Amino acid sequence: MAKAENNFAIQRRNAIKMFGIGSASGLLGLFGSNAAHAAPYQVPSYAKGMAPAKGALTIKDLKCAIIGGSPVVRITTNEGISGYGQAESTKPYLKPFVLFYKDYLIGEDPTNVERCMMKIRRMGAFKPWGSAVSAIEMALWDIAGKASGLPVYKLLGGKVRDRVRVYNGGVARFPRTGVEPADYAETVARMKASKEGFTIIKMGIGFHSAMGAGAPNFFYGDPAGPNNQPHANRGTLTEQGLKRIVASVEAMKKVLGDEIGLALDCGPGHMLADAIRLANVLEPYNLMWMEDMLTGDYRPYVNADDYLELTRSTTVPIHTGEQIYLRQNFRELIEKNAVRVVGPDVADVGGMAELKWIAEYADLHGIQMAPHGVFDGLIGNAAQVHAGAVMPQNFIAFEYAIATPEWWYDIIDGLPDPIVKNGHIEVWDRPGLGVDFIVKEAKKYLSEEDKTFFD
Amino acid sequence: MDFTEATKASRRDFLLKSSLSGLGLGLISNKLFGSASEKMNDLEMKVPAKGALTITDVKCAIIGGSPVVRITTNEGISGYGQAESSKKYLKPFVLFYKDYLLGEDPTNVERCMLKIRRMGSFKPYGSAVSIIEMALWDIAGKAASLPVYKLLGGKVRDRVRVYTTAVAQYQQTAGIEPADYAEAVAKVKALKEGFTIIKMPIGFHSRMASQAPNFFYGDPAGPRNQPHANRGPLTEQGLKRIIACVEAMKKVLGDEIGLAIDCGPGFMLSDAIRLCRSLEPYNLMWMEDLLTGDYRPYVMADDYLELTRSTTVPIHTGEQIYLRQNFRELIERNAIRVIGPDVADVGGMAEIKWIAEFADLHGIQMAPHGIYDGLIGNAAQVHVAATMPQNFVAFEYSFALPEWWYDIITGMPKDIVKNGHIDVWDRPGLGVDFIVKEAKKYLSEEDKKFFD
Repeated sequence: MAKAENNFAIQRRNAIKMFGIGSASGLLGLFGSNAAHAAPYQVPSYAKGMAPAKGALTIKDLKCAIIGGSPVVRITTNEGISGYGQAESTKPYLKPFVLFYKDYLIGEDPTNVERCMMKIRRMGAFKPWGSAVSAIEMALWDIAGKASGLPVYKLLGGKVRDRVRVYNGGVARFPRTGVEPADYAETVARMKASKEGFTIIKMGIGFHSAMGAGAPNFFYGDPAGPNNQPHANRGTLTEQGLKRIVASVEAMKKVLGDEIGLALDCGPGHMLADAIRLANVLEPYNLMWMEDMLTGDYRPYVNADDYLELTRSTTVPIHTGEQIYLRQNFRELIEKNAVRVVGPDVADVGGMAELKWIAEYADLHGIQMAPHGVFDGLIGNAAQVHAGAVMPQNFIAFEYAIATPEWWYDIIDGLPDPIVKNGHIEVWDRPGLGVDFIVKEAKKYLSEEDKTFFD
Repeated sequence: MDFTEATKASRRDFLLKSSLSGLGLGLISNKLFGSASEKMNDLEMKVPAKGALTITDVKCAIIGGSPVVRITTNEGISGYGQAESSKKYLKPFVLFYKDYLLGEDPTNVERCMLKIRRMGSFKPYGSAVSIIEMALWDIAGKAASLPVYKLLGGKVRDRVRVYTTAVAQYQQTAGIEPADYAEAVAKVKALKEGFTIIKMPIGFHSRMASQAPNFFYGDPAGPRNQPHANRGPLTEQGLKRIIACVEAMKKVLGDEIGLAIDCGPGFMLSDAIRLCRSLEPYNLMWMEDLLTGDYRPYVMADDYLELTRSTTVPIHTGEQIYLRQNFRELIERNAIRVIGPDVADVGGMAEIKWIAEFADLHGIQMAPHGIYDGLIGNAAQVHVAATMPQNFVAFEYSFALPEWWYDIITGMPKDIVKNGHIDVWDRPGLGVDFIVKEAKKYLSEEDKKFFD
C-alpha cells in the first residue's frame, strides 16, 4: 500500500509537470494520500473541493477527428486541459455523430461527469449509435483525472487488480485464410505464438466467419452479396455446416490444448435450434464461451428470451452484448440469467462508468464479464485497462485492442512497452487515462479537414 | 370508385403526369393484382429481372426544418419520405445508408431493408431508416401504379381516424393552471377538423416540471437540456395540480371527445400508479410515456407491467421504440394496453403494420405517434393506418411546419381532416408529391440540386 502511494505521488508530480497547472486536488485528499497535504503547489480554483464552483473548469469545445480511420474525440477546457476518447476504427463515419452532442456540453463542468452524461446519454442507442456518447464519456473521465491528478481508475472506485487480463481477438487473427479446419488450426497457432502470451484466444466461426459466404452447402439460404452490412447472413445450418464448425473447433483445440482458453465468436445469424445443437455438440471442448449466436453485433435488439432457452440447454457459457447500449438494455439478459457472460464494449455501451456498473450488476446475478473492444484503438485500450482494473471478480478478460494502422503506436505516449506481458496489461498510474498524443507526430496524420484538431 | 377503377384511373394519371418509359414493371405488377387469368399468365414475371428498376441516388434535404429523403431511380421515378421536423440534424444520418442501397431494386422493399435495418436504433437513430422505407414504398407504389396501402395488404377502412395533440393551443396559454388547460382544449374542440380525440401534455411532458412551484422533489433541469430532462418523485401538490388540470379539461370535453394524456417520461413508478388510480373516474383514452418513452433508448417493460396491472387507465408508450424486437417484452407480457410507434421512427410502414398485428394478437391497441412527421409522414400514416386491424384507435395528426408546406405539396385532400378522419386516397405510391417549382424556393444553397 505504501509503495502504491509512493508511485502515486510520483505519478502525480509527473502529471503536474506535464500539464503545468498544479493538479493537487481536493479529491486527492479524499483518497488519504499524504502527498496531497505535502504538495507545495498552488491549488487551482476548480480543484478546491468535491464540487468546483460553477464555471471554474468548463468545456470549451468538443472536437472530432478521424485519425487513420479511428474516430477520436477531444474535449477542451478553459484551463488548457484536454480529454481524449476513441471509438472503433470500423466507424470512420462518426464525426457528425460526435459533433451532434457539442451544444449540450459547451460550458459544462467536465469533472462532474455524470451531470454531463445526463445531458447526452438519452440521445444514444444500440451500436453504432452509442459510440459517440461513450467516447465522449471516456474523454470526460480523462479530463476529470487530469484535473485531479488521479488515474481514472481511482475515480471509478479504485483498482482491485494491478494487472488486467486481456484476450486475443485481434493479434495475428487477420487475415483469415480459409474455412477448413486446417486454416483454423493455422490461425490459432499464429495467435498462440504472438509475443503477448495471451491466455485466451477468440476465433470467429459460423456466421461470424467466412463460412457463411464461402463454405459450400453451409446453410439453407443464399449468401448475401458484398455491399451488405456486417453479418448479413442468417439462416438454418445444414448438417455439413454443423460438422464443419465442430471439425474446426476440434482442430483449434488440438493446437491450444487445455493450456490456452478458446472462445468462439459465432454470429449473429444462427437459428435457436441450431445454436442449441451446436453448443451441446461442443460441450466436450470446455470452451471459454460462445458469443453472439442469436443476436449481437449490429443487431439493435437483445431477444433475451431466446438466449435464456439457449443458456439453459447447455454447459457452454453463452455470451453476448457488444452492441448493447446502457444497463437498461442488459436488464432482461441479466435479471433472467439469460446468458452466462456479457461483453459490453466500453466504446459502445455508454462509457467507462456504465461498463463498471454493469459488471457489478452482472456479478450480482452470477454472470461473468468479457468485454468486447478489438477495434477500440489505443485510447480505447487505456479506457479498458482502467475500467478492467475496477471490476469485480466476475471479470475474465477484455478483448485487447489492436491499433490500425501500425503508426498509431508512434503517435501515442504512455502505454507500457511492451503493452501486453504474459497475457496481461499492468495498470498504470498516470493521471486521467494516462495516455496522450505525441502531437508533433500525430499531426502528420491529420486530414486537411481536421488539421486544427490539436490547436 | 371500386378497386380496379381506382387503380386504373390512378395509373392513367401517373402515366400522364410522368410520361416515363420504364413502366413495364408497373404494368406487370398491376396485372398481378388484376384478373385471375392475367395472374396465371404473368406468374413467371413475379420476380422482375435484376436491374430492371434500380436505385441511382439517395438524397436528403432539410426543407423548412424537416428532413426529406428522395430516392431516385434509373427510370425517372422518385420516392419521398419525411422525418420529424424536430430532427433538423438528420442529413448525415440519412446519407450514411446510401452506399448500401445504390444499384438495388427499390421495389423489393424488404431486400433493401435487410441491408440497412440493422444499422438503426431507438429514436432518433431509427428515423433515417424509417423514412428511407417510406420512400421505397412510394417508388414501389408508383412503379406498380398502386397506392401503397395495396402493397401492404389492402385497406380495411376507407377513412382513418386521427387524434390531435394541441401543441399550438397549449403553447398559446401559460400552460400550468387548470384554467389554461381548459382554455386550450376548448380551442381545440372548436377547430374545423372536428377531432374526436385530443391529447394534452401534463406532468413531466409539460411546463409543470420547470414552472409549477413545488412540483417535484428535484431541481428543474436548465434550458440547454435534451427534451424531457426532468425526472423525479412528485410532491402531493404536483399530484393535485395534474388532477385539477385533467378535471378542468374533462369539464370542457365531456364524454363526447376523448382525452388522452402525454405524461413524461420522468415519473417514478409509485407516482405513476397513484396518479393513474386518482384519474380513473375520468375514463381517459390513455396515459402515455409515464415511465419511459420519448428519447429514452430503452423500454423497461417490467415497470410498465406493474403500472398496467395496477389501474384501469390504459397505459401507452412506444414512440421511441425501433423494430418489433424491442416491442417484444411490452407486447408478449401485456405490459401495456396501447402502443404508439411512430412510422418515422419504428422502422417504417411495413414494420408498424406488423407490430399492429402483433399487438392485436395480444389484445393491445394502436395509437401511433407522429405529430412532427410532416405532410409526407402524414401520407405514410394514412396508408398504413388504413391497413391495420381493428385494434387501431387513431394516429396522431401531423401538421405542417412552417405553414408554406401546404403550398409545396400536392395530393392531400383539400380539407385534410373532416369529422376527425382523413379519407384514404388512391393515387399511386404515397399519393403526394412536391410541386417542385414552389418547393425549390425553400431549398437551401446546399440542397439546391435536391429535385434535379
